[in-house]
Formats: sequence, structure tokens, C-alpha cells
Amino acid sequence: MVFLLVYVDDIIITGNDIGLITKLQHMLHSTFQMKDLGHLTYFLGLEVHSRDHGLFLNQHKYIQDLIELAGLKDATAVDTPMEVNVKYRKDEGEPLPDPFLYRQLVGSLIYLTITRPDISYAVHIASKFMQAPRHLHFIAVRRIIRYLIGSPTRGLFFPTQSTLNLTSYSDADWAGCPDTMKSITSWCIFLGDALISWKCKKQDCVSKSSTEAEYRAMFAACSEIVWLRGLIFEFGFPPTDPTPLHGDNTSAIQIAANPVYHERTKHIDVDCHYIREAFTRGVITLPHVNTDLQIADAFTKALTRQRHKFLSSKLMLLDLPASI
Amino acid sequence: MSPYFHLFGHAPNYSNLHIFGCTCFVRLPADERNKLTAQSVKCAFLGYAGTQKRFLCYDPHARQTRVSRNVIFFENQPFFHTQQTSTLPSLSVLPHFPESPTPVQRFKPGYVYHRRTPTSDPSTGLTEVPSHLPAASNPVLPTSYDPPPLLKSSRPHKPPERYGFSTPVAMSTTLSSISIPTCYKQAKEHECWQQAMEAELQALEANHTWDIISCPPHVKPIGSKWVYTVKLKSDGSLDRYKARLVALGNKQEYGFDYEETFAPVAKMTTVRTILAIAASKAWPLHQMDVKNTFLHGDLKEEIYMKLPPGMSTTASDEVCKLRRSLYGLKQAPRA
Repeated sequence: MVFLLVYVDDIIITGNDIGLITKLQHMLHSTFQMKDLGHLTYFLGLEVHSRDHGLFLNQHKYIQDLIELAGLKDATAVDTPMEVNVKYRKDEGEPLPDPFLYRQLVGSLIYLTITRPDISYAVHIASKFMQAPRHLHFIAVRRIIRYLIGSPTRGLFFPTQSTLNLTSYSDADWAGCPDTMKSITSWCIFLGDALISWKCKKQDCVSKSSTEAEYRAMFAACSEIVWLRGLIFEFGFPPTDPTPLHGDNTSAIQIAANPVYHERTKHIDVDCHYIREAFTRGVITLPHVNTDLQIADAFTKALTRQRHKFLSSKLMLLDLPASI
Repeated sequence: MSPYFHLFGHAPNYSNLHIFGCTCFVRLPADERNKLTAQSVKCAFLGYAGTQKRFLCYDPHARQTRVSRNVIFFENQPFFHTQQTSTLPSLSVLPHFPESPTPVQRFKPGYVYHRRTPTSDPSTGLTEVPSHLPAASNPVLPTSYDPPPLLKSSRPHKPPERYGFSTPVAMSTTLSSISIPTCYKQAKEHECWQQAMEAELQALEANHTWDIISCPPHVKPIGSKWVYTVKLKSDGSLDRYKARLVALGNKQEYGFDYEETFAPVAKMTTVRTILAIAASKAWPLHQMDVKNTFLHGDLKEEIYMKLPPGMSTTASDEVCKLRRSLYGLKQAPRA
């Protein structure tokens, strides 16, 4: 079994058959002008470090360049990417005279979220103001970068010997956007112990209750689970157990698991039926999780230092090389 | 094993030792400073006072050594530059230090700072009203009454550096020290660019990118242009001059000249999933890279391009019929 991952002109080859891999490499060499870069170390700006315990993914150089671009080389580091209990609105503060740098920095930060789920929420907030950034928003962006100064080698860790079962968490921040009163969807999915997929996104319509917001988040997570199960099936590892989708809202879980049609949930029927169907088909299960252990919390709000540290470790974010 | 170790059972502590000759800042004694003067003075570190637990530093401005406990060290900054240290044997005259300002320069008399007035729209602002009032009440006054010029600081205005506005400018200056031509006319004057263009044309011909034919009557060939870049090495020094021929794809029409435009990319989640599976199964990971990606694709559509500027022609109606994809074509990423 050999897999070929193509990204325009960059190719990753992996698989369990070493002989076949070399054969494929020779074939590609004879067909195209190829440059064999040997073992995977640098792919699309991601640095891949191979260790005995597993693979380690970070964007150290990218972070260094970003800090330089922001002109914050000598700034002091902070422990969290965002201040707690601050709501950023779109019309607060003086408009920036030249939004170019703001857009450039936020664009770079969005690319950085590939290996840094811990700044996902902060970047999500900052990117809402790309259209007309103001000074207060710029201060928020500078804080994210100062957070990066403190942890430039942090990245995702994929351990060896982990199982190939999916686990997922979903959460929502009801009316999290103060400008539109829309809620924020957040979910994250683990493959064994490795975090492979997450999302932090403003929902596209206003929810009337937190249950409804939570429910839409579950719906979004459910779609991703269905796709990922298909993808992993294609890789030759058919999922055996239903995927647990942890939520901390009991009423949302009840709506999905209980086929009673309630008047207050009449308007969310499409999402409702989708999750119900997935539930009855055995694609997902809906266990309840205590809010303290809700990992998707990291994508719905700015956290305190201890909580941020705790959730970062739960997301399998490690600093290279001290902790390995 | 040192005698010290024998005696005390642990290695001596060297953390109090500092680099000889490094820059340091000695806090001035209380009688030499007040609230408005500098609190410390830049000195060169000489050593340790023999009888006291203090540092010995040389203050070139006051031409004296200072003995103090309150010293901040900048160990990576030598006080004397290396060229000056080579002339150290003839250290009869110490270098002059222009950067230490005398108090007289810093507090110029008659230098007044003003609060900036908010720049509001004069037609709606209140500032307009008083200038009208005297004219209406007292017609004897000349109507073109000039207000006294506002006192404004002559200090050049600079945006705050902490937002990093100055950084992109600084980056572009290193590149702009080498002038990059924008068109063929400018480039052909310089030999380095001519060589770069010749190399590119040879590569394209070796790849059999086009056939030169006489132009069919019904087609309108698209243009092409040269794009010039200077490739820098990672340390910022010049690597090579590069010229790339691009087709002007903006003249292509959808449905006629091209249909699909996309590049195959993998979703980042897929990349992470593959890496996670490979890690968990301890599979080997290899990486490959295609050179000149865009030039590999074979074109399905018939595209005619004018001869690139700088290519010699014999007949005036000759055009290039493209066989392979070229940078700038709408369908180039698909191939």
C-alpha cells in the first residue's frame, strides 16, 4: 500500500511497502523532472520532525519571519493569545491609516493555524476585521504575535502506536459575535491521540437559544466526521465503532437522541434530522462531557493562563524539543 | 579537580564574572544625578575592585574610573570596536564619544512643544465661526483677515514604531538596491539581463514549448512579456538574475481559449490525517518536488502567441503555436 499526496508540485509519498515506494519514485523520476528531497522535513512551510515517539509538526521559521514582519523582535512574550473577557467590536477605536500590514499579518496568522490550533480563536476574531481594521484590533493582533514569541517551537504532535479511532468534541459560543449576535461553532476531531481537524467559525444565521447554537455546531462536526470516516476508510482502515461526539449541552444531546418533535426546535429540522440519522445509523454516539473537560472550549473563548495551558496540552501541542 | 573543589566540595561559582571590555551602564551616585538627568552612564567594564565587592568601570566622558555595585552589563556589545582595539597599544588618546549628549544640547531654551489640534473639516467645524463674526459685526476690518500662523513643532513627524509600519519599507530597500527592469526595453541595455533571457529562451526551446509557424488568418495571437527578478540567497546576497517569459493570459477568453483553471491541492486536514496515520503506523515519509511544474502540461487548446520580445524573426507574420503550458496562461495550473 502506497499513498501519494500531491500539492501542486510538492509530493509526499508514504506507505507500508518500501519496495513499492522506491519503484514509484523511479517511475516519477523517469516521467517528470523531479527533485528527490529524501525524508520529509519541510512541506509547504511545515517543518516535520521525526522522533522515536512520533511525528512533530511545527512552523518555527514561519513564526520567526512573522515576528520580524510585525517588527516585534524585542517585544516581551505573553502567556495567552488573547485577553480574557474582552469583546472586540467592528466600530471601536480609531481606524488604521493603512490596513495593509494588518491584513498581511492576519493572513500569515491564518496560515499559521495549520499547526497552531491554540491561536485559532484569536485569529478568528482578528480576521473578522480585515475589511476595516482599527487600532484596538491591531493591538489584539500584536498580542497574538507576542504570544507566539513565547512559544515559537510549539506544534502538533502525532504519536506512534496511537489507535485509528476518531474522537470528537463540539461546542458553541451562543451570540459570541457582538456585532451580529451570531454564535460561534467550534469542534475538534482526534485520530487516536492526534488532533487532525478543528474549526472555529461564526455561524451563518442567528440562533435563538444556546441549545440551537450548540446543535448547529454538532451538525457541522457531524459532517466532518462523516467525511473523515470516509477518508480513513479509503486509506484502508474501516472504522469499526461509532465516533463519539462529545458535547456539554444536555438539551442538544437530547434533541438528537430523542425523536420527540418539539415546538421550540421546529425551525432547526434539517440539522436535526441529519444528526439523528447519523446517530441511528451508528456513525456517531453522543456522550456528555463535563465543561471542564470540554476540549473544544479552546475554540470558543479567550482563556485564562492555567486553562489555556491545560487545553493546549490536551490538544497534543508540544514544544520541541524539550518535552520529547 | 581544583583545590577549591577539594576544600568546599563544589565547583566555584563563575556567574558573577563578566566579559572584559564590554559595554555597561553604571548607575550614577546620588550627588551626580537628579530627577531630570540621566540615571546612569555608559562605561567600559574593566574588572573587579580589589578590596570591595564592586565592579570597576571606565567612564570615558568623565575620564575617570567608577567603582559601583549597580551596573547593568551588555555582554555581547564590546565597548571599543574591533578596529579600535587593534590600535590599543597607542591608547594615549581615547576615542571621542559623540553619542553622549551634554545637558545643554538636550534642553534648548525657547523650544516649545504644542498640543496638536484635531484636524476637523473646516466647513463643519467650529473654527470657521469666529472668523466670520468680526467681519459681519465690524465691516471696517479687512475681510481677508489672516490669522496668526499656528506655532507648530518643526520636529519631523514619524508614525510610532511599535506598530511596525516602518518594517516593510526596510525590507524593500534591500531589494531595491539592485534595480529591476520592468520591460524589455530597459533590460536589453544590461548584459546580465540579456544572458538571463537567453538562458530562458534556450530552456523553453529545449523543452519544445512551441512551434514557429506563420500566423493563420483567423487568429489573433496573445502577447507575451518578460518578468525580471533578482534571486537572493538566504543571507541576502545576490544569487542570480532571472528572466521569465510569461504569456499574457488576461487576453484569453473563457470557453474559447480555456475552460478549466485549477491546481490540484490537498486539504490541510488530509495532510494532517496522512501524517497522523503514517506516524501511528511508523511508515517512512518521502518527499519529492517537480521542477518547472507549469511547463510540463501539454496544451489541449490551440493557442497562438506573438514572438517574445528579443527573439529574432525572419518573416513578420510568424507566431508561436504553443505545445506546452507557459506561465501566465489561464489553464497553466491545471496541467
